[in-house]
Amino acid sequence: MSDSFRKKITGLAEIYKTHGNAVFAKIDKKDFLKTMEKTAELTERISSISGHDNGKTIELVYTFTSEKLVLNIKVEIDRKKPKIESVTKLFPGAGVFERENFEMLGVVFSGNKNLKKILLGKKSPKTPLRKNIKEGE
Amino acid sequence: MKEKDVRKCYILPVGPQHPMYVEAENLMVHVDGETIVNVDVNIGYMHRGIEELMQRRNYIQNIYLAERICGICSGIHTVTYCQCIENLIGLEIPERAKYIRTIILELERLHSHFLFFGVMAYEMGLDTVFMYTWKDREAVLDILEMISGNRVNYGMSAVGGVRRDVPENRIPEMIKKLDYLEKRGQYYAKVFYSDKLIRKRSVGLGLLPKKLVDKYSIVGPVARASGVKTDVRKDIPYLVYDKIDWNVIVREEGDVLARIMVKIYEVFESIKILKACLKALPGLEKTLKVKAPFVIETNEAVSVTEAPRGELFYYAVSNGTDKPERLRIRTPSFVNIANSLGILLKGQQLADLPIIVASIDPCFSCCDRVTLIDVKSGERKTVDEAYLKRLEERK
Repeated sequence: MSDSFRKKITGLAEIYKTHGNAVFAKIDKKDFLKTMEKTAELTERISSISGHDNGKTIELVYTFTSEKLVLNIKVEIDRKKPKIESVTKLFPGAGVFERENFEMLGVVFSGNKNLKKILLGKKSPKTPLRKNIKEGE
Repeated sequence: MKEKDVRKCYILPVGPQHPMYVEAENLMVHVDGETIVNVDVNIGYMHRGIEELMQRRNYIQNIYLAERICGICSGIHTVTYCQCIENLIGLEIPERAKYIRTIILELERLHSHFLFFGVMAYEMGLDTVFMYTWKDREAVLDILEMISGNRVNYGMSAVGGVRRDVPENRIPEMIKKLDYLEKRGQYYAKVFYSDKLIRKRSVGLGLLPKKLVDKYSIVGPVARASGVKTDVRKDIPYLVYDKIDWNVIVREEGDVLARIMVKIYEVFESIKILKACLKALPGLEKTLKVKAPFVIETNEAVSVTEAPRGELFYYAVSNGTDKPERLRIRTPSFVNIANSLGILLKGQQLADLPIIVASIDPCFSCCDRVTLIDVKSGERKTVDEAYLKRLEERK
């Protein structure tokens, strides 16, 4: 899959890091859906969406695992208005990961009809993994 | 489903409390008579904020926090965490440490699988098989105790290697116990495959079609029981799995029995891996650990492993301090519970619910107390586990 992925994403994503079987690629938000569609041609399985607030932007890392490859596609989105297209139509299994990032970081995934809290209780702090949330809030 | 049909259904809350796992989860089961029409899965009752907590502790403290994510899978969590941090640093661990980590992980898989056989037998009303399997599980725990001094939390992994060696003088004793477990595994393969009662309660039940496995990111033995050959140990080999001859167990049926049989045959593969590792150990250099820095420069890394329940994923970001900037953990049960239960339970009989739920080996199973709500009249009726057991027996 590694070579086929490289071919598919030429011009869309920049591979900036590798270690062992892991490949990290960075894409522009405008190319996001196109890259995901190309990835969906290679695999149906999504392993994770890891969200991270770096203080300036919110990084979302979409991980796909297949034979001899852990593919990580990173996209950065605006911290004040964190919104991105949902990939649930391409990867139905992504719904739970989108809900998790919606809950932990406040990322809105447009097109996900079931975007609601998944892990935390009613009294839990909103978006607890955001940088501005301090201990005990 | 039409609105008219919805009104016919009862919504049956299953959980969040239940006695078996001392954990809490909730299923809102929509039933039409005895048939399950739909299931809403509500998870998160056990959420402890570990990802956030990890950002406040240093890399060494986090090893012990990772070990406490799960009582059964404590070994795989520490190994995956340590591997992820080693990937951040770019550290290669000694060969002996790789073998010792593999031994711990396979022993953990064995005791987790034996525990699963007992749970499945209990759900089917076969308490004798439950007692047999859990007694046999003690043999695995004995080996773990010989190596680490502990039965559950082993404290073996460290960033850069392992903390203790396997006592070589006790290897023959360990092999003896593995031979015993192999024999017992053969016995359970016969019992689960041929017993009429077990077959009645498991063949064709809780079907997961092959085409939905990848679509819904379902992992581990549940995926393999539906004909999908996916195992991180073979697909993205780590530690010494590519140096040992072993097979991925796959079955095509996709039902409860297939999920049991996959795990039974995985026991034999684990024993094969363990024997190979124990044989190779005396010939290896004695170095257990290489030095790892406390402070890690800005970087990011991932680590993927095969836990007893499937693919376990860690993602770490470092920021030039002794604490991680972000640590993301995705456990196999998270996807298996949230994505597969709805598919497995739809169209099944209510009496089969505990068996189907247990068959994906989640961290919750049986139901302690359920409440029946008539959607039309709003009438509530609370029933207990005994009611479900009676339903099972009647079936």
